Amino acid sequence: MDRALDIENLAIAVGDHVRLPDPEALRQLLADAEISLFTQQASIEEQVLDTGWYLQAVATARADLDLYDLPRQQRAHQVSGHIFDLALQSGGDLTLTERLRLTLAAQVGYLGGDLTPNAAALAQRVQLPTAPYDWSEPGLMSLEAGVLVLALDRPALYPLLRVRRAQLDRLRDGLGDLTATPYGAVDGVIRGSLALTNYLTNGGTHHLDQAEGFFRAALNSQNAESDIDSRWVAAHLLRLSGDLARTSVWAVLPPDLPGAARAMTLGDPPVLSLWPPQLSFLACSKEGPSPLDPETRRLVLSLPTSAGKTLLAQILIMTHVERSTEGDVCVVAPTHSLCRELGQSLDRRLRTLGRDLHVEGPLGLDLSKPPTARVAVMTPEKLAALFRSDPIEVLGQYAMFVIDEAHLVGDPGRGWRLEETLSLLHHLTLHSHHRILVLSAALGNRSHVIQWMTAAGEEIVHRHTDWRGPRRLHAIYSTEADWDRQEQIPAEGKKLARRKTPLKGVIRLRTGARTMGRQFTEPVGTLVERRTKAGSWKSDITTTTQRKRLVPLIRHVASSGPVLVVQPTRLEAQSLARDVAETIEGEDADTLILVNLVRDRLGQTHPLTTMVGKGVAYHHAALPVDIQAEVEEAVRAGKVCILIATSTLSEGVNLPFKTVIVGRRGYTSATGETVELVDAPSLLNAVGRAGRAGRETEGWMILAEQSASFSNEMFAPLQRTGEDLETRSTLTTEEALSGLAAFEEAASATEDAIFEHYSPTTDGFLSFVWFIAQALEDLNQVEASLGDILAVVESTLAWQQIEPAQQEAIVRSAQAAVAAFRAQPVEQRARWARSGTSLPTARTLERVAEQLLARLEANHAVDLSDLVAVLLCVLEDDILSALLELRESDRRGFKASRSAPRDRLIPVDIRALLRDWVGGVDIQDLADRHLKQIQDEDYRSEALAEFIASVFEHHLPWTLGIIIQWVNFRLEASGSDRRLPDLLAAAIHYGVGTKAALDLMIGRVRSRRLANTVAEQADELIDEAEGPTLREWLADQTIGDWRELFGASPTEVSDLLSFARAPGAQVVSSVLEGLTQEFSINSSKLALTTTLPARLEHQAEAPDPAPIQVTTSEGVAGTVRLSDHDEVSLLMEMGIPVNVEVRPGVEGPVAVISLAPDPES
Amino acid sequence: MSNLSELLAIEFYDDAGFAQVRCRLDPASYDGAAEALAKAIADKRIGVNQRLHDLWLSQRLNPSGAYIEDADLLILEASLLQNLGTPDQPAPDEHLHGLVAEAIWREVVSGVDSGLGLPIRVESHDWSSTDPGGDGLTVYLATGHRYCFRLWESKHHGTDTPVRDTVNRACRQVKSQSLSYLARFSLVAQQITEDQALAQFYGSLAELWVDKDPAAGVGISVGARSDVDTKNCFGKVTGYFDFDPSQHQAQLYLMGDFAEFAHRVRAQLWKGCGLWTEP
Repeated sequence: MDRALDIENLAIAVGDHVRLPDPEALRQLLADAEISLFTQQASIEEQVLDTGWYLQAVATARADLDLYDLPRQQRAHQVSGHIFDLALQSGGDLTLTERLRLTLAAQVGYLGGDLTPNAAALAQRVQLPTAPYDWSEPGLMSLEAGVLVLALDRPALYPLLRVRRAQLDRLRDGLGDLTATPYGAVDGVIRGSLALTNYLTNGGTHHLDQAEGFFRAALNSQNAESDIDSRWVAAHLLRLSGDLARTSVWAVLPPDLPGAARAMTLGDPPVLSLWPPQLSFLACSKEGPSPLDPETRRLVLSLPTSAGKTLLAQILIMTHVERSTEGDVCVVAPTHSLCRELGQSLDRRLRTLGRDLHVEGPLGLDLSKPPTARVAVMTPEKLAALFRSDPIEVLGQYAMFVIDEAHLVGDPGRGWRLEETLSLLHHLTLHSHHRILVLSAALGNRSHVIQWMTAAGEEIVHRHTDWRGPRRLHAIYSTEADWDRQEQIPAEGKKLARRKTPLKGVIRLRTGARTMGRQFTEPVGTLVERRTKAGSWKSDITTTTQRKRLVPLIRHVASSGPVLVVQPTRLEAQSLARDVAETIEGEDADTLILVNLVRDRLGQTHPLTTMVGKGVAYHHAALPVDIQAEVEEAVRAGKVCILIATSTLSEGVNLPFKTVIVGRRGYTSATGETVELVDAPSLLNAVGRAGRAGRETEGWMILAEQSASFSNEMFAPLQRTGEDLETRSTLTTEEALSGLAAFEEAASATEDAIFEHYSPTTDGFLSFVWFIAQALEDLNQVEASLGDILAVVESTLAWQQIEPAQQEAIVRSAQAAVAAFRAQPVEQRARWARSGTSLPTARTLERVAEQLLARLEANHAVDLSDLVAVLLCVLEDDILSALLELRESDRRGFKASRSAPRDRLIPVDIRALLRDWVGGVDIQDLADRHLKQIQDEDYRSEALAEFIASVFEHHLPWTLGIIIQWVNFRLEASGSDRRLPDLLAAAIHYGVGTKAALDLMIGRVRSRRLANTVAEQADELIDEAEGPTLREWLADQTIGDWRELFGASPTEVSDLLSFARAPGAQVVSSVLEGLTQEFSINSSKLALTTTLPARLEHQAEAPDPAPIQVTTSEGVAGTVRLSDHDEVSLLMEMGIPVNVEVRPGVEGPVAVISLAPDPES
Repeated sequence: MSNLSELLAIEFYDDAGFAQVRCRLDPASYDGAAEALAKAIADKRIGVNQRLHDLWLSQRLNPSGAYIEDADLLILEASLLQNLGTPDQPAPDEHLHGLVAEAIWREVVSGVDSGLGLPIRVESHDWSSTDPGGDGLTVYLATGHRYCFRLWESKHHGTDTPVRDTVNRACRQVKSQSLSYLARFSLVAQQITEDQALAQFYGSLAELWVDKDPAAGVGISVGARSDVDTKNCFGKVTGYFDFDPSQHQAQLYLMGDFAEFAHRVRAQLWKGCGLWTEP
């Protein structure tokens, strides 16, 4: 909001005119309009709208006429876009034509004002035609097409424009040359739009020339002179076509990489035009090295949320994939959710190039990357594990490393692991071809990071901007007692006197330098006080809680768009969600599938089950992963409009919200200290979720304050930017440095000092030095010198950030660690280096491995192909206890209640729990079966989910994976042919106990329930010796079968479709390359005797994802097989014109697909 | 054939610099005026298609003459008869009246000098004649080779209330939509104008309007029955726009029975398309 109301901008844009408000008055009018929108008493003054149109005239004046200078035109664009946007949001009785005019005008303003994503967001708010696209008034048709072109919405554009062109062609058949008719202008707009879309999608300057020719013809169409709307649209598109062309990927990417450009334009989201920060980054070749140049080996990019850094990374990835045949791309994202989301987007782009994505499995499971996969996505821990395991292989495999959200290096729990990996990676590739791209939203101290990542003698490419598309409105919400309306309740019998005071909800909005307050018309709660015997007044427990006071605010803002409420704890998130849901009557029929799914997974009595039916949900790390995914999907689909979450969601997932409310950030301790539960980076992240680029033009960020006395200082946390957040190495903390000092002291006394625990980061550092020594030895085949090892230590971020005295302390600790390394037997020290654990833990694991080896030698009866049996054998209580007691395990058992002390655990048979987990028992049953002693049902589920996430999904697979590797190595060395199954760690991670279920989970099926259900049926129905593979078996069924047999939800069907995709299927890339693709389809009742033209369409009235039918004029010729469904579906979603035919084949009908030629060519 | 201006009795008024034109149509000239207006509409809508225009003209003069092919009829329906419909499916009278009022305005404003000379350019917006606000724009080359413009709103007054009600409604509409229209027209006109000075003028329309520059101005035109109350009908016009009186223009067309006149215009248009069967 500040940007849009900047007085200087307004003054430059508007100037002083008799008929228009002066800049200060305009600022006030705009602020009033913003606030009236927020309070839903929308209105916009006529003089503001007049100013908008005036500014558009200023902004769009021909440059060669020298009427206005460029800076003024750019500001005029921005302000006019803002005004029209407000007018659209407040315009109650606008006709469709008026709404479309305003939308197009606002889009033009935003595009010209370099706020590109807002143009797309605007199109989502206007009613645009849907198939079958009835014939309409020419002006209206042009406006619709224009709005979609400026939204750069390729998937929606192609179907509309193709139908419109066909309609105009039919008219032309009857009328002759349309330029001689009143349809001349609309004809030019439609054909020009199609040509422009062709250019932006496929490149080719002839398309651009064509587009401009059509737009000119529309403008000059004499018989359509009165069709002002069409000519106006044509004028804008003609004026903008040059700008759109200049910002298209085709203009920015090297011409020899058409595949990379197409991967961006045809992927999801389509990137037809780059945003200003993206252009500035990619175009920096004029000032220095180009980021697209393979010779540019280090890149640091710091952009705020919603500025397009992820898409920028994807551009670099796609150019690398197309340009280099050797050396793949390793993408690192901090959470599994983000990996999944990034993976989905990358996968679609890669498939246009005929390449695949590889998603690395959990720790403890090594999946081989298929040859067609050129990009792998993984967490920092997984990269660290791979790097530890075999750095030479990692460097041979990958030539480009993309590190997303790199500020994670400052995270107290996970930061060091990423820092050490990145430091060594950087050091080892100082002189090689490897490229490292570091991305972050928050890097206040970029110079440290840049210095850290700079390769010797080479210029690093770095960019930072504070640009963002959607403007932001900041507000503080608080409650105040309405003392004038206080009600006195006299004492009665034993009841003491009380008084009740209504609480007013007050929202204060920051508009430029002013703060404006508005009150809720109805009280948001009651302050109840009772008189004490001493005569004073004391708050009563029936006073409305702070949490419940938020409910009216949440309901209010939710009526304008989806809202995310960030709460500091899981319990508070859950409770608030329940409070909100209780105020909503009835259920939304659209949520029925989601309700059923949540009920099936979590039980009827689970609080989430009832609330999702009302469009409310909560989300935190303790929810099962598949339920988290379903909730995220429901938010994306608009079925859940109110989401209450802990900060983990805002950090992990890219979800659209109009409003973000931070409910409570922390509390004041007994000593008066402020304890922040939502810390500064979390708050910054939450702020970034308000108003997502391309989806909203404005975001509301509201901070709930508990204090009744307001001050403007309360806005300060909302105005922080990434600049305020310094990313510091965790090794520079007091705790880590003290740990090093303690180690140094201990090392002077005993050789075994390195096998003691210090602080977690100190342990991590010592283990890192150990690993450096080993890695350099492996690489150079000779023992590494201390100098070489210290050179790597000096490559850490920590080294940049500490004083010389502290550097000396680090060197001394490193020297001691190297001495300890050299004192160990060669094979053992190598094993420990590769484990990635702390050194004391590595030593314990060595002992456990010995123990397990002995057990296996003693117990030949165990069937090593039975995962559950092996697991029970391996995790005899002593081994399981040893693993749970390792320092790296942060959860060893269960407390009886939320408030019980951490060290008072209740007796739970963890091995039995693990057995049932791997056996496929659902979460609710696991909790009921094993955690009965926890009385509070909500806490029981939460405690179990946390334990599973920490122990079963992470710690046990990781440590057990190490042990299995060591045991199998020893077995092999001893000549034994017995081996522990490699998949054991994955079985624990995923909570499934069969090979088929594991295949599904590894194949990106998210639901454990689905994997187990499918595996059960597959086990019964597939003949293991001669039958089809699991994938073939699934692909031979129908989507209806999946829903019926497995109870698959829409998300689960999508996952199965992705799993069932034929290996190496390349329908999309082949068609894009101009080849004809043929594939058999499942036949229908239609007897096909000859080749017929056909079209692809989703089966009408079937729930999403619906089967794809191949339909001819004579009826449905067949259904696309599930092995091809995913590819064909992707092709359809791209919206590009294709020719489809169907012909009779030996084994049934055959669909033939090819790219449709452009009729204008 | 006479043009419409020649058939109208035109009176000029100057109300302290506010130029007003009142036109009356003698009922004896109804048919001639309807023919002239129909031709003007045809000239504008199908004039660039000489063959079709000739066909329409000859058919109108000789309805039993050349047969109009279906393909040509389709073009005529899609172009000439837009917003008018056909005898089988006539457009609502509201559309017809709006269209005729606008066509009269165009003819008069193009052919009658109200003090600024004849316009060098007349823009109108008859595709959707019910779309409010800014129905037309006239551009003049005034003395000293300076351009000036008038933004017009034309209306049909079809009730028994005083004409000033309609005039005031037109004023409100043009006032609220003026910048929207000017901004849109300005963009279109700049793009297709090669003459640099004229293009600059088009690029400045909104600027001239918001600064109340003498080059900007407004016009209101109303078509009505001859027997309605026209007393002081343009009396409040100058109060709406805060221009100098000389920056205002007004036109009033009293066409006898306006509805009947509009039907005759339509009949002429249909006749040229071979769609009129009455004698």
